[in-house]
Amino acid sequence: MTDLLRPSVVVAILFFTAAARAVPASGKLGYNELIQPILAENCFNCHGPDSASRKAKLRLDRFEFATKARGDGDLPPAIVPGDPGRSPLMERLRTTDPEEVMPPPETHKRLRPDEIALLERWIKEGAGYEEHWSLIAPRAVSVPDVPLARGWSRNPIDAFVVQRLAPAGLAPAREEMPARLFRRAALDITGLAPTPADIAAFEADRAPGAYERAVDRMLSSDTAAEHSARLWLDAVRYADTHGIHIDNYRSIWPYRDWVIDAFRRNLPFDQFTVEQMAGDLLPRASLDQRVASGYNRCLSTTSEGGAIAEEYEAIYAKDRVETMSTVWLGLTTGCAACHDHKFDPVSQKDFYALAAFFRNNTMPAMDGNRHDTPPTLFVPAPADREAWQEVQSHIAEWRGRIEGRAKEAETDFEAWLSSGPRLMSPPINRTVVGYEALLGQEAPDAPSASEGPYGPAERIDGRDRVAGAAVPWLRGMSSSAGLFVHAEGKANGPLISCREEGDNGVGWEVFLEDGKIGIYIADGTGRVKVRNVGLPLPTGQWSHVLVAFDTASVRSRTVEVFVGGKMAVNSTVSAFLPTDIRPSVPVRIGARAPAPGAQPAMLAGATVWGQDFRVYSRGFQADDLKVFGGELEAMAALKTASDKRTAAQKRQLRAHFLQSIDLPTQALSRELDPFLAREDTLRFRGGLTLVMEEKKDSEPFAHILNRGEYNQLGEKVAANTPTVLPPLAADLPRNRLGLAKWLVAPENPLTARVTANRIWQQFFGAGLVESAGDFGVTGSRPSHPELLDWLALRFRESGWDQRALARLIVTSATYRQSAAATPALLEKDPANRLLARGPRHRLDAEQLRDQALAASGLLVSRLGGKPVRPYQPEGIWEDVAMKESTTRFYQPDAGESLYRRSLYTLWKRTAPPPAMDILNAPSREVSCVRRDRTNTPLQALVTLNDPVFVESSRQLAARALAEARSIDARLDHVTLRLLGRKLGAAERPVVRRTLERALGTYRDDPAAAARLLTVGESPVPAGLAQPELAAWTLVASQILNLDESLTK
Amino acid sequence: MTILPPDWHDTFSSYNAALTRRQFFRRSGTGLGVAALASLLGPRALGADEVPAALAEPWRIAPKAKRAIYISLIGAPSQLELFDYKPHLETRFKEDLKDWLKGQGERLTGMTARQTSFPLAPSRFKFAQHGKSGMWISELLPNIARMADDICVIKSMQTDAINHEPANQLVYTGSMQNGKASLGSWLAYGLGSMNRDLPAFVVLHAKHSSPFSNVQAISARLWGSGFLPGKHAGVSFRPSGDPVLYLNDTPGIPRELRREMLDGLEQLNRRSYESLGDPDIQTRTQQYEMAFRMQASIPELADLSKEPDSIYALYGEEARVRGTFASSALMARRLVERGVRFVQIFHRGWDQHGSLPRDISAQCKDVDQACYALVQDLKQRGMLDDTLIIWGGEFGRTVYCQGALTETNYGRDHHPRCFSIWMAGGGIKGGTVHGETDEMSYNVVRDPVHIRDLHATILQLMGLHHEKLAFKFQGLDQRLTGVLPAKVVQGILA
Repeated sequence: MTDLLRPSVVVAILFFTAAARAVPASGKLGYNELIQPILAENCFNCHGPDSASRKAKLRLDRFEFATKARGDGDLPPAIVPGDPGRSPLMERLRTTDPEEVMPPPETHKRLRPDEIALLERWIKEGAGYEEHWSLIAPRAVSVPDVPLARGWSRNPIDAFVVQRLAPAGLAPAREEMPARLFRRAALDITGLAPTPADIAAFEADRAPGAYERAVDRMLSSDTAAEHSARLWLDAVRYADTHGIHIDNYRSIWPYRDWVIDAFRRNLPFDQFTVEQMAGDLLPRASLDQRVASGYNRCLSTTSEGGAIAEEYEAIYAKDRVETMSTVWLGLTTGCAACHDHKFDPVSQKDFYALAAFFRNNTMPAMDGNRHDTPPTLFVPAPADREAWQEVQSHIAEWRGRIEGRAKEAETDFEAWLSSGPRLMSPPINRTVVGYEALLGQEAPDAPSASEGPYGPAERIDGRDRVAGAAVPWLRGMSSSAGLFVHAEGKANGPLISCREEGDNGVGWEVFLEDGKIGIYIADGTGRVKVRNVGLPLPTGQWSHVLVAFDTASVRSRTVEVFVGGKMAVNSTVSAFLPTDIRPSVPVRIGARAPAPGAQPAMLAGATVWGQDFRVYSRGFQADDLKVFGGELEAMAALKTASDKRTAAQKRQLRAHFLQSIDLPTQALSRELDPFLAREDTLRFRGGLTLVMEEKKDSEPFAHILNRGEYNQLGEKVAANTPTVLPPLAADLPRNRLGLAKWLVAPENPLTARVTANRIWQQFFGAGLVESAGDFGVTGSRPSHPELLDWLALRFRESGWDQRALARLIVTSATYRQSAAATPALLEKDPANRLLARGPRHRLDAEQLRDQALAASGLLVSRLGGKPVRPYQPEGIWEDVAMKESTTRFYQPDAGESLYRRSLYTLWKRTAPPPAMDILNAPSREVSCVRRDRTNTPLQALVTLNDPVFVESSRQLAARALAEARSIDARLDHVTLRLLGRKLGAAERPVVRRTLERALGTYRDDPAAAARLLTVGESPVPAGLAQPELAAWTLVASQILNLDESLTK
Repeated sequence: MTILPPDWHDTFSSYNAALTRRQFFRRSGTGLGVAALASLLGPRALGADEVPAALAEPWRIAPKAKRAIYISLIGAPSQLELFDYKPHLETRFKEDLKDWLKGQGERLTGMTARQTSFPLAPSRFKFAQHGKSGMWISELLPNIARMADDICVIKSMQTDAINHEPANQLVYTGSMQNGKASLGSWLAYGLGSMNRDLPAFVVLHAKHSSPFSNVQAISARLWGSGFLPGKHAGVSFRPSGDPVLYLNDTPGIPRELRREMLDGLEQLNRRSYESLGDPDIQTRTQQYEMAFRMQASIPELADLSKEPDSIYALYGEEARVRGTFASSALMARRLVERGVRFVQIFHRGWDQHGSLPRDISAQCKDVDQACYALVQDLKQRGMLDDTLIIWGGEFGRTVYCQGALTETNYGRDHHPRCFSIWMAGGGIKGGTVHGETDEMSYNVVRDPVHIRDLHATILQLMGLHHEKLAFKFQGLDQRLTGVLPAKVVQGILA
């Protein structure tokens, strides 16, 4: 699949396999090595494990079936062990009769003569079968004692490698130059190139073990944790949107941060497994363990209007089984969703028994297009953990006191009730940032309609009433504004307005149109211009109108206007408003800011009163709005004769009394308020995350789905593990926790191998088993089976220590070899499967971006947090998104968020970050344990022109200019950061020539220099000559685009 | 024999170019492997500067078309309003189909499953017969109707999916599951490129004018490469900004300076190659060169301003506005003219659950004239004979109304059992109607065409055997048409 290796693959198939899989001249042929690949390729499709597609009732994948008499026992077996002449199999392979020949002509498959000869010899030798290699538990192997290894070897890996090199006529390569080796290790371990300081420290350490010490430093760094986490996130298909249909934002980044932290702590892989698969089911599960269970929530989900819940529940279970199988077992079990697996011994029943583990949870089939599809958990930021607990206890304490006061206040309440009471406006608390009482004249002739909840109300129609400073709607904040309104008839015009007059005016407004509530929003650039009209405002009665804008961490939704607690109209603009709304005029009640010299537009057509206008620094949910309804109910209750009041009315009055009248309660509330404010702050810094939760009242089960179709229910099966693998221990629960423990049980032949192989792949670019997600019959064979087993056992016996395994690999002589290829080597082993040289391949998308940012000094190295939005060309989201999606408009962040490591970039599944996509990052829709690695012109355009690469080049150039004087020293500054070395004497003139040409160009055309320097948000340092900086920017970009920069 | 990927010669020739240019490897040192490949390749491609002829892959058959344009109407246009004329339904206005539907055994989507009645909604649009065949076409498509003799309408399309996401995946990737390769990437993989400076598969996103309808999302999985190598994925030409992402050089970098910078890059990369011998270094340098050429060729391609007025008269004035369907159609012609193998135009906004008459009228207006223009334009350039055009959505719509039914207004829900598409150009028998539906436009009664059959037919017309065009993934020979039987629709072939 890797284009990088394309030509090599071709040659490898022709020449390498023969060398690697040499047919022994004497001794028995190995079934797994030589025979099974031929049978799997040509026969198993019709004569394999899948009973549904099996032809002629013949099964060739196991000895007992292949050698059994057929028909009613009167036909000879297909294979007669020891006697190829009497084995019909041989006859059918050799015949030229199109009716008889196998495989049948329509399959377009044909065995080569040498393959037929192998089968013949194998039958002659007794047709011995073996279990598929990966299903046999790893065997303890002794490290080979190879003569060549003694001088070269640094650890056992090398002995295994040399053992394979010698018969192929190959010898290990020389050790890589220290600087290059150090850069390679840094990129593989941390994802970033070493800094000049790292290089200096490494070079200064002359004592033996300098490299190992440097490796240890890097392995325990936070950057290494981020890099390992990023690779894991590919495997578990982590993303920040739901993925299907509307593809709204989902809040699950605390899970991503958990993964990073797990690597920081070097959490043993068995525990890493159990906490993700079933953290919620652990006894006394900690907050972190429950966050880890978010692994189960990473899948794509839908809420499409017509979607059928049962269908998606089947899809989700399949997705989870496939991901678990790919990542832990290296098995492509998904094939068995519709039929028994064609090649691997996984039956359809096995598949649904696995699916059962994932079908007993409380996650709804439809995600509701919410960012917080339940079950969820609030997670304070790591630094706030203690503060959060503390604040919670304070809040509980003060709430307790307030409740205590409520119990004691009954006498005072009764006294108030009998004193001819009036309602009072609730106290101003921390979230009220603007307030106008709107109290009118207490005129004797005032109509009774004008009597508001808190006394005579103010007329708001036909007058220009300024009610406070401009209320901007900015991303990441919340804001609401509301008041009580009473209209006699259907009015027209602004109700709450904070917009400039005119078609291009900026701002927002709640208006009435023929008595109906409307919302208007415009950002002044034309990108956002909304005018929607919704439900009518009730007439002849008081109701509460509130407009809520809420894009803070807690909710993602549109701007909504509530009337009487019900949504009357919304904006349909995504909560992630593409642009901030920054009105320059104050907020008005009943009028709109006038154009210069003009009269303001005013509410007209009916008499309208308003009262108690408040602007809040918070959003509201329907529940919160009950408080306003309660006030209106209390108002009605007061008008009811005291002996006619219902219990509910009395309750409302009591609530009002406590909140607005009772001084002791208010004093206590004032004490509580700072803690609530503190909680708000902490809540904003933390986040909600999706977690897993088991249904408590049922046992996991699933139905076999015929042909995989959700509505074709077959046999009901209980949760269980595949029959071909060691059974789930009797003492393990039949749920995800049991499954997780089974995955990492010592009997499991696959997990340790598959994981060790994936870690190997991180360093060598390809696993010992190239198909890292498929250890099945049709997957690739291990290039070094004994080494793989040795690593797997060592990994497990080390306590599943991922860091130790990485260290072992990086400190091996094998890894430390030079990557240089000679013609002879390229010919013998183009894909480097035998490891006679060091690894070399293009960096991953994220590494390229991170490296550019790091080299320039722009990289902001902060761990974790909400996803960020760096630069991205316009329209990427809009071109594909639905109108109602919260990820429709992409507005880049400002400041630090532009320069975070790429694993923090907000990942929208239906439109991934385009530069990452071009550079082969997966879409994160399905599990990916091995990235494609292409080499295309579009990739060249990214690293040449994507603003982040241009801006990084500029900053790198600026630092080189500021910190060094001579051309050579400046060049060293650039190349040390990107290549980890200084240029050689022959290379310097090439770059100098580019520099001189660029200097010439920019001195002649300073305007062009100025244009180049405007790319990117970071400021251009003062004091540097623009033509010079521009020319050096071009040079830095040239170095950045070198194959050597882009490659490890 | 090992099947070589169709693109192997590209990488090979870069490898080979490195050999000859730098003399890094002595000829004798290249060994049997390279020699064997060279003999397979033949002399033409060796060192030749043109795109080498494709190898005789086992899946190649004689093509009828060299290139194709797929006009993808996302949201599913109603067959009842466009091609599937059911005049007798007019007398059954509002008839409740509730009982009749029970006999159909069809699942209903979550949107109408709870409706208490299912009133029959006849189309309120007029149909007339057109062309020599007398095919019925709706008044909504007056221009397409004018070319009735050029097109073949299939009224008996069938799909398995009832919702947009899976249905779109089925039409455009052959499977309702994620991770499969798109139709265009299969064509690029199977046929290779015809132009060194442009991608083989280009995707255009056309703006739609109806502001009302339900606008379904689309995503890169519809033009992705799935399990095929990533370079076969469709390249989006964008309606705004750079036509290809990051194509335009950063402001302030004049072309000559870019050239100078790339020359230096080439020299330094060559030094790396000399010391490391990694053929990928040479490939990378070549990709930078191709990027440089694309920077020249694509803006020329994307600049529609030089097209004569007669072309704008044909496509309509809105073709002058970038991103419209008309301009996308014109762009499609320019792309195939320059050797792009497959162009896919996505036009969203066809999901008319309510206010169907108003919305479908607006949508048809977007595409009608430009579709006619595209076919006629190809014809006048002598390209229609070897360019295949496909026009259609992902499923059909129900004969019964979703929501309130009035004399003038109605909506229709999703319907997978039948829908209409049309095809034209290379290998297609124009002026024909294929397949028939029952009186309710509910079931196919003659010549059903499953999505798989459509795929098999498209592949055959393009010169690919649908059973042989395969890619090994997860141990299986993956095919666009999957594992169930698929047949080439003989009845529509010229």
